[in-house]
Amino acid sequence: MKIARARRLSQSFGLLLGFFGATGIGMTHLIFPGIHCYACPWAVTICPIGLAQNLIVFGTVPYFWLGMMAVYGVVAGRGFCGWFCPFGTLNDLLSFRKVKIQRMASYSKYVVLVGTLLAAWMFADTMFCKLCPVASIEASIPYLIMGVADVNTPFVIHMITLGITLVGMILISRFWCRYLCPMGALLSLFNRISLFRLKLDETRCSGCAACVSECPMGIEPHKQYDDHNCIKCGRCVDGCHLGALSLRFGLKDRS
Amino acid sequence: MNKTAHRAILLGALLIVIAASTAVAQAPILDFVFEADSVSVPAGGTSLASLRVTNISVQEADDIEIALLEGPVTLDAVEPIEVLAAFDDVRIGLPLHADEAANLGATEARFEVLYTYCIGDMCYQILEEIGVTIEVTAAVPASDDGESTAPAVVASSQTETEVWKIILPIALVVSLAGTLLVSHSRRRHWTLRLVAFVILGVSLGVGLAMNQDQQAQSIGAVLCTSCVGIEVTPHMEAALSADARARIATLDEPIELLVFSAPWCHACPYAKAMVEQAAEVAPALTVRIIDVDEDRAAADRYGIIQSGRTIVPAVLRVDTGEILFGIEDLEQRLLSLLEAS
Repeated sequence: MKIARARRLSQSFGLLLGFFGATGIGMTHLIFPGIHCYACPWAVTICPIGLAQNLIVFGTVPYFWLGMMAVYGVVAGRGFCGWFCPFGTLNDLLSFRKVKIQRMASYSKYVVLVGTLLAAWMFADTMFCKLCPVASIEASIPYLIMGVADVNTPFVIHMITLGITLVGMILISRFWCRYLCPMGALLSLFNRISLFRLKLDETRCSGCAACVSECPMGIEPHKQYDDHNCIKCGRCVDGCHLGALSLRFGLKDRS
Repeated sequence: MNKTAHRAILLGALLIVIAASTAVAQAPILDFVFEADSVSVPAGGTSLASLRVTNISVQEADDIEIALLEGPVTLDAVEPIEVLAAFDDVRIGLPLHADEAANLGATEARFEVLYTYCIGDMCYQILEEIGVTIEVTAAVPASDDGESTAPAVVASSQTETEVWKIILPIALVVSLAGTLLVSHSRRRHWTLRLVAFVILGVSLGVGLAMNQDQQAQSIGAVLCTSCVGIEVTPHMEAALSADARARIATLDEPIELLVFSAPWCHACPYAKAMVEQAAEVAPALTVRIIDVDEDRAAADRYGIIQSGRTIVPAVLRVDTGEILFGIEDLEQRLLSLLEAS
């Protein structure tokens, strides 16, 4: 239970950083280590996916962006999805059905990532943002309330994508993180080398699969502990009565 | 890994950084491209040759001077460009004058460009030669000639980077990452982790040196309503209806409008054009365009910044303080803004 509590605390911190602009502080130079709309009236950090598209539109070689993504990737990989990302937290809150992941379908998030970058290049516009359900919650709705936006076609499109994503999240736990999130796709690329990682002590594992029923991503942690879909949330660690699984941070593989 | 290996890795990374910075220091830092392959100059007349100067380095270039070495034309004096920031670019209009007795036809003209740049205490003066084909054409009637006293610097815009410069680093990281996705070998993971650390360090260092964090900040700090899909990106041409023009023409009270825009905002040209058209029909209407990237203070003063975010495009009526955000149904909203007493 200790991990669950620490994770709630860390997710709260993610929410706090995400919406720190409520204090009146403006936009900082920080790139958010998750998906979080920079257009949100309370955002103080930059959405990595929104920024990447803008940089492509501007024709900037994205050194700073690449460096920051590598930092986040090397530090925790998809750990940010499980421990930090506010939209991940929303996914968590709606995780009712922990169904098994469709492995082939989980590669669709890479298609979303590549498609996002290609579309930005081809249309010279931030096409993904116009569909992004995170922007639906964090920009479309607040700006409608603030009187900056109206109920128009883009608003309706945002509400449709949000609706579909919410239904998906209710029917399949972490639906967005499993199949669609381009930031998750980006971070997952570093999952195997990140300092924060899930570790399996094979000598202790009996193969009982108690961890499988706990996993919100629908993977089999005792077989795929370094999988690109693992968000390192640690639910399997709490669920394993034999202590075969653990979360580690650092370069050394201590057992 | 033992300590020696760790030291060797650190030393290697350091050498890479040093080698990269040396390579950057020795490279030419300005790139010159004439926007047309040949420039046509009428005999006895003047034409502007548009030259794009791009700073392709992390250093700023200073005192860029351009002179004509040889060619069938003369170059009127061009103001030197004092500073061209890292990765910025500028378009220069070179006023080329052909003598009435000049031989007609195409000839190569050569220009000399002199500029300096400094890395720390070390300053370098660079002399480069560039050329363009000049085509002297038959004289045009004097009335068409006009005064060619156009400003030397035509416009500064976003850098146009070659596509491979964007694709290459992304492809590098993606291929690294792709290897990680399929690989289960621990030894390979160590190598890849090392590569990731090097990419991380070099990218971050170069990015920060180029002030890309500030660029990122300014992207985040300005909300372009059509960019995040709060509004439709305008593809229609901005045109006030005849009815709107007639109503605006009847305005006789002096009204000042400020249009807040950003150079990269898709909806801003539409908003600017609509307001400018209104100003054309109503002499009492004055319009000022404010670039929020350059004048954030004005945006702050007039309440265009909400929750720390500048929202563009925004049209503000100065005397009432009323603001229109975005371009949705702009004509109608503009009319009510102007007609409100």
